[in-house]
Amino acid sequence: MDDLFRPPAATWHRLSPSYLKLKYLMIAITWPFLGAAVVVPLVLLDMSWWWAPLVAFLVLWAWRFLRAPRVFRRWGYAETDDDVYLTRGLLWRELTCVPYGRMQLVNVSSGPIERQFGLASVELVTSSTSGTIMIPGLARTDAVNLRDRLIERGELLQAGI
Amino acid sequence: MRATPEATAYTQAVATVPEPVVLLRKEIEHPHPLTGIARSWIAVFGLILVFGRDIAERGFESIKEMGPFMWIILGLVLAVVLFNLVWGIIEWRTTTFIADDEEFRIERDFLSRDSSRISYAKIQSVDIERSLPARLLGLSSVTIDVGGAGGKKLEFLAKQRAEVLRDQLLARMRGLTTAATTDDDGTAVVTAPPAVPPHTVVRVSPVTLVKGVLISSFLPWLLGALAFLVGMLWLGEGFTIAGLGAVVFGVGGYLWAQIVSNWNFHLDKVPDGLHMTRGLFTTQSQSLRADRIQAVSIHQDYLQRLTGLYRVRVTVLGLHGGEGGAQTSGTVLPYGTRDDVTRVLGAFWPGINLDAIPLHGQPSRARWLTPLGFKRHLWGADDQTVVAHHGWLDHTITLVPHRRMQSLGISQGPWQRKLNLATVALHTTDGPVSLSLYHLDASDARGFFDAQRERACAARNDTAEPGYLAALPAPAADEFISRP
Repeated sequence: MDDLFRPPAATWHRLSPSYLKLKYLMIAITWPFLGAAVVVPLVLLDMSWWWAPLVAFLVLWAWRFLRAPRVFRRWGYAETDDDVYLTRGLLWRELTCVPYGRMQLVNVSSGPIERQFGLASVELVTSSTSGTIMIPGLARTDAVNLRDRLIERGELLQAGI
Repeated sequence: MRATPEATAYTQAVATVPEPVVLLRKEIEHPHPLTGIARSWIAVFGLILVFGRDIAERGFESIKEMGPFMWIILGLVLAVVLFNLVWGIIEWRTTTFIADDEEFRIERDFLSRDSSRISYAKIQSVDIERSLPARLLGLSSVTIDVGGAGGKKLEFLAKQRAEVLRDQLLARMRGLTTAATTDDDGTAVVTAPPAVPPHTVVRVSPVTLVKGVLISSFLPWLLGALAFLVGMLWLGEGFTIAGLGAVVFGVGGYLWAQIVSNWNFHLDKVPDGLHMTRGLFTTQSQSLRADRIQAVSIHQDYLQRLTGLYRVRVTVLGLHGGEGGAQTSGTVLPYGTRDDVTRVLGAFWPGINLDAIPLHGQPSRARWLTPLGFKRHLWGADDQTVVAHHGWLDHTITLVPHRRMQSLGISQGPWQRKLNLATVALHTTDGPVSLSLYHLDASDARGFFDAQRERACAARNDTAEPGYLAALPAPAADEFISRP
């Protein structure tokens, strides 16, 4: 972890390892659709070079699989006395710091696939769109506990806009 | 709402005024009886605009050509006018509103029964709009903005009632209300907000306005349009009504809108904050609370550098865009000199001094990413505000007070990583102004990030509005007592 994106405290909290499995599954399911959408029409139209996009697609697909764990490891969040920190991104890296007092509401959501993996996402909404952050891939109990902690801290430190 | 020390001082000063005035009993009011007529008037005006253009373009011949068709159109016009008249009368009879110490409530009881109660604390701004037809009848409409969805419009009120209502709502919202203050002997005294004469902060003269509109990035468009018209006349080819219309309405429309909507623009300081008034035909009056202003941008485009004029825009909670849409929304000074800018800034943030904030540049390797604007990318922070300068041709200065910062972000793209640079963004509530410090040295960026987090945290925890962010300077007590 480089110095620019160092955690405010000792370490970053990481996402649940199940989230990486979910990501693998999503890549495995969604990318063949994309590939098929390009390759199948070419085959039907009897294009002789249909294999070229197929190869490109397979390379890209493999690359996504190889990259997934590195992207996963870039995710991290931390709670301090006054703020929540979130860092993410491999190529385009980001670090966001949201004060508890600025949170308008905290959502916990869990889609059907996330539920299969026992995961949930926590979304922190502030009155600024760019300051609204989402922490995905937390174990469900962790997510609920995090939300309760955030709301508790938020009520204590609520600041007027 | 938190009672600021100023507000307390204010109410105490007010309480010493000898005659306590009791305002507003539980009184149910209707909109103005002329509402129906005003509505049909507006319909007539709209139709005149639509058909008038046609007639002006093609002459009265076009009417004769229509023949029996004309009667159908005339019938439709009458139907629209009648419908609006009836609708307006129904609205006048079925709409009621109550504005007293406890509540502000608007009720409509026609077909469905709606009752909306607006908490005084939630009111962000109250705007009065007077379109030309309404103005001829001496009427105004009042829009109450509550920030986000759920704003309410009251149509129509007599001009004076609208102004009184606005002042009452704003006074309650600010908390320096007609609320009861307890006397020394325990009796409640109800006091009205004192009528302090408004003081004009800045006024845009017609000369400045025309200069500002013409000598700006709009000029190339204007010249292009003129060249096009001249070319068409010269060659005598491609001269079509449609082409002419597109050019005249496109360029002329912008020119017209800018001049008409910003005509006689003035910003006034009143007890409740600031009022902006503008417009030639439709006078628009907007209220602005200094403590709602989140961020400010001072902009000068490449041709305005010749005239030395600036435009000031703000991100503010609960300011209506008005008819000009994005162009006027958040604009608190359409065209003004550097002195005007200083006065406007001083009106909402007294004591701010832009020149006193030390500025830093980007490291020289950032030239790879911003070869042209490099010299103009400056940033700085003092104990109240973060300031950023941007722009190669157009110059922009952006300000965000620490107290108004929502959250904070760092981002770094692949090229920035190669050069060991990073961008810091200060997030404020959504609006026309955003502030980013581009391409700082990575360790400087993180240093600024951590320091700024501390500063914003301290500013939030300071319960009093710090320094120049105080919404209003405490009024001198004798100012009210010596009032006739």
